[in-house]
Amino acid sequence: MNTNTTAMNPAQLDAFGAEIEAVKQRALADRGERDARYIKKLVKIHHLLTISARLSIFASLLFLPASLFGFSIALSIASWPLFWLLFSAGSIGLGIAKILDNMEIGHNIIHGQYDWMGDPRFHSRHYDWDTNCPGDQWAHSHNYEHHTYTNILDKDRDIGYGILRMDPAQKWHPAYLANPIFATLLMLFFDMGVALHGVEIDSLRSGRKTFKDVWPELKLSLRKTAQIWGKDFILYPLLAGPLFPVVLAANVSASVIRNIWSFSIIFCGHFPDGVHSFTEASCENESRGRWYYRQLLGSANLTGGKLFHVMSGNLSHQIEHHLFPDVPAHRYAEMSVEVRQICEKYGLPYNTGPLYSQYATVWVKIFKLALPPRNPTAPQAA
Amino acid sequence: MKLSTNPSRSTWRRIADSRLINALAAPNGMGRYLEVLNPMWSLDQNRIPAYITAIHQETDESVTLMLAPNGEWPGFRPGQFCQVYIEIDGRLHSRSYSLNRRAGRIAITVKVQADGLVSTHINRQLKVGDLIRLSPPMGEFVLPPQLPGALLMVAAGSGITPIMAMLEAALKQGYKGGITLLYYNRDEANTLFHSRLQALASTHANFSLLPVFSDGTGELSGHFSQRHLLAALSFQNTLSDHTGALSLPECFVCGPEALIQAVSEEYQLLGHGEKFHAERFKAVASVSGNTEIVGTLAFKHSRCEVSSDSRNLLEQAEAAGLQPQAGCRMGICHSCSCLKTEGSVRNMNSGEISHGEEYIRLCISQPLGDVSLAL
Repeated sequence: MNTNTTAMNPAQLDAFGAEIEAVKQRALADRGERDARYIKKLVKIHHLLTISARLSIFASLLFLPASLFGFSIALSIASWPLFWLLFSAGSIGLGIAKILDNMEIGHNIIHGQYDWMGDPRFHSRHYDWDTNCPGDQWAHSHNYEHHTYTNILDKDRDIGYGILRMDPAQKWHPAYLANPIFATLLMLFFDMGVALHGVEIDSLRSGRKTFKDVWPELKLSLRKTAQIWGKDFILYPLLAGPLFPVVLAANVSASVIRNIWSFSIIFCGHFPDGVHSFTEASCENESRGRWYYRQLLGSANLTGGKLFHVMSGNLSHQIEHHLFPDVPAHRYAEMSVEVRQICEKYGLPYNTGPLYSQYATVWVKIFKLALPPRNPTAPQAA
Repeated sequence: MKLSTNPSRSTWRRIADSRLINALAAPNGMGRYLEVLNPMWSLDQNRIPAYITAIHQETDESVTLMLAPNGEWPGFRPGQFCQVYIEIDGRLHSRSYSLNRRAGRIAITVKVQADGLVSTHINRQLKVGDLIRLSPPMGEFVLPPQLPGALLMVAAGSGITPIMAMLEAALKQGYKGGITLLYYNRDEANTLFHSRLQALASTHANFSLLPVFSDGTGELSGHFSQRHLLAALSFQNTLSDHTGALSLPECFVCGPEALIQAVSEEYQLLGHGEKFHAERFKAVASVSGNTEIVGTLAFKHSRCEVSSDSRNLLEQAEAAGLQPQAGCRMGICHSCSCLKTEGSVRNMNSGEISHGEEYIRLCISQPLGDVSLAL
């Protein structure tokens, strides 16, 4: 959004890059037991939460008034609160489990943050997550394209995800009038959105690819979608027999909870006010220092407590995540102290704020950019 | 993920690992949930959990671990080995160790190697009750189903471990042919299974033990030579009666390359190359400074080998005509992450050295000697 107002000369960029690199190397050298214990603990919490949430959903069926109606009316009325308690606990619990799996566990494992453990269960090549996009597809579209070409217009497909106008430098088109509607749909069906984004479905519209080009990847993505949706929306509901719709409703709620949360956190990573975007030309042959500089200016953090950071998959430390995508994410909080000091030293902005205010600026942008630019000389990216 | 199928798997394991149950635990499967409840309920057939039930100190520098794996363990043939996975400071390391059977348990014997991270950890840190992981057994260095008339076994140092498994299995089966063991060690104190072997020799008339110590204290000394072979053969009736031709016993050798070469040459020379079987213990390439270490780079899946240089493995793979997945080419995106099955490489960013079976990023890995990749 912003033009580049914090220009640095190559020597400054190198010095800045060297200091950031030193922070990274210190963290990498320190990797060990502590990181392994952390990710194992999280996977354990995820598994136990998933099991208990699914049990809670099925337990709620026992208290469904309709199923008790045969005994007595009083009993069936009295069972309402118990039903709702177990049903909501199960749905929310499963939603939280999916969030943990997708964000702090899956996203970070697929980034290769735990590859050094040498354990296939925590390895980017083997781990697959509880969402529609196959892990290996994500590894390409996200780890490589988005993390290497962060916020470079026409290179980073995460700018607007191919359907939204999230940067004033994106050319306006009447279809963008529906920006808020598309954004809402993407939020509710974020799992599907991510899967389709992974196969570059948007390149069909732009004509960059034909259906035949996209089909092999799309097939894998649809197979994964069938696996995940088949589990949540067919297999588990079938176990409930005639109460199929109740379990289906619980599982749909869990997925939607996960979708809204992930969308919100992820959109706060690169789209709040103050985040910079870049042109392809300005990034040609860029030095490591310049790369770090672009990652810093192209990302924004969220403030919050420890639980919030875990639930956001530490994407609340989006800046650190973009500087150090393969450092175990639970270290970002402690690394951010040093990063901020370095930024202050070089007079660089460090974009951070609470979820509600950052998120508000994102939605303002979604509405604002739906409209054509009022100023014919729209701001150009740096 | 499934490479092996274990015919002796129990019914509940088959059910828990069935398609329907795994579909309920998609995408990573039911085994992951079960192992959180109890590690021994793991359904992983490639990294089978095993408890250490006892540890025996063999010599000052070696221990035998007695192991109780879970129901995924398929059993093994004496002489086979498996990958043993040990976690040290959060990292899973794997090493090959020969399998033996002792007191109804699986036993692996591990000698401390100079600068050996894993062997030292096994000897000094592991305790009874710890959990380690095993690959399914592998290797074709085993006794033939029909035992031959006579056996000559040659071992050096910890090369005794597969030989010991074969020897004990043969004697336990009531094998009546002659077995001679030519066994090379530094001295008696450093000899693995010294007293067990002596006990076997005294209780089995058909088994002769011929220890060779490099400190010169034994009857024989020095490296393997024709003299050693003749000494070993003197225990056996090697001249077949009716033809008068020399008939050598079936030979099994495990030890360093030089020993294997020496015995092989003798067997070839005497025209009995087909009776020669060997197991190589690969020593890890020693790494010093920044000198270029050339070697062979083998791409296993592409069945292609090139001689390597100091460039990163990604460039070398591409130069060899392969098209591995790749992305950022600076070590951040892990797109080029690939399984190295053998050999050592240096991480060009951190200088860290990776030995043996491990995932590496091709774009920042420099080969140190011979390297094999699952590519």
